Amino acid sequence: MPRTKKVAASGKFGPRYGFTLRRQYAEVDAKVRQQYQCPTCGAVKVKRVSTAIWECRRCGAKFAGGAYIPVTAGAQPKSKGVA
Amino acid sequence: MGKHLRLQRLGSGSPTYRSKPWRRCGAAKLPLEEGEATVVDILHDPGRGAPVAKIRYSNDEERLVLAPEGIKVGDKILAGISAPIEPGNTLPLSEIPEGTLIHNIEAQPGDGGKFTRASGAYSILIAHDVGRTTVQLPSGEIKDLNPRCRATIGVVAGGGRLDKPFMKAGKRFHHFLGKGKWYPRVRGVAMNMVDHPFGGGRRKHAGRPKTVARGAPPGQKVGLIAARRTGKR
Repeated sequence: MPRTKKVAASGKFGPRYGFTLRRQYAEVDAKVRQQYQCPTCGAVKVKRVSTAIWECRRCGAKFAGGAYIPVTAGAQPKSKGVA
Repeated sequence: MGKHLRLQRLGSGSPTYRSKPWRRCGAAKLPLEEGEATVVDILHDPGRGAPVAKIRYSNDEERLVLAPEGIKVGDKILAGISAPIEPGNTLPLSEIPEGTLIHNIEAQPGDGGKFTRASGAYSILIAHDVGRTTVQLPSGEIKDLNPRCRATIGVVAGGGRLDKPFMKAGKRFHHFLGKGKWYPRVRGVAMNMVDHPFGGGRRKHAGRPKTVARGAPPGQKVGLIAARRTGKR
């Protein structure tokens, strides 16, 4: 789809709201829809359920993370030991 | 005859201008003083940027706490003096080492948590002293607190929430609807004479001193209420 290579998910806005906002939106939206690695089982199956809630489609692990990415840079990446 | 002002309509408590508490999960407070609980679910709370975790004790008592980032369903969270320094555990400030990132901090011992509750927020414990613990809040303010105040270890989940722009005014409207705030908010100077003390005129200007007394009656009490000082700082 060469037509949406640049604008990606912001294509739905057409020419509105300005280029900078559309680019910011597209960058975040791509991260939201991406599948991530599960901290429990390692499968790349983690999807976003809701703001800051992430769930693995393989093992069912549900955890709290960043609003749009599962692990934010500011928080300590150390996860709680299960044992 | 002027009309009722927006702030007078707000005060009458009609459903239009009220928050929607029946949609929400409930108050998210610190866990009990002592004991071990299991995280049974992580829930989205409408009107709140951060998720809440439902925890269950061995006697089937359930509570809501703010979910720290990285906490999973099935995790055990501990509270008390001897709890290890791990995200989700709750301890008195006196037992937390310096430099630890903490959230949901009590202002007074036993109040259940007042500071650092927004999504992605954390405070840093700076120093211990006799009778007081120094904490740096997310605003940068340095505050001395009672060492018996409790706090949870870790960062509140939902960081980076402001990275995504609202894009549309309608999105922001629904954002504020969940919080019970009125949006869009029209300025007084943009209104007509009947709608607001600042309204009317041949151009947009307040047309009168903006400062009003603390004891001013409703309808007059708009602008800089009981201002200690005005002007640029």
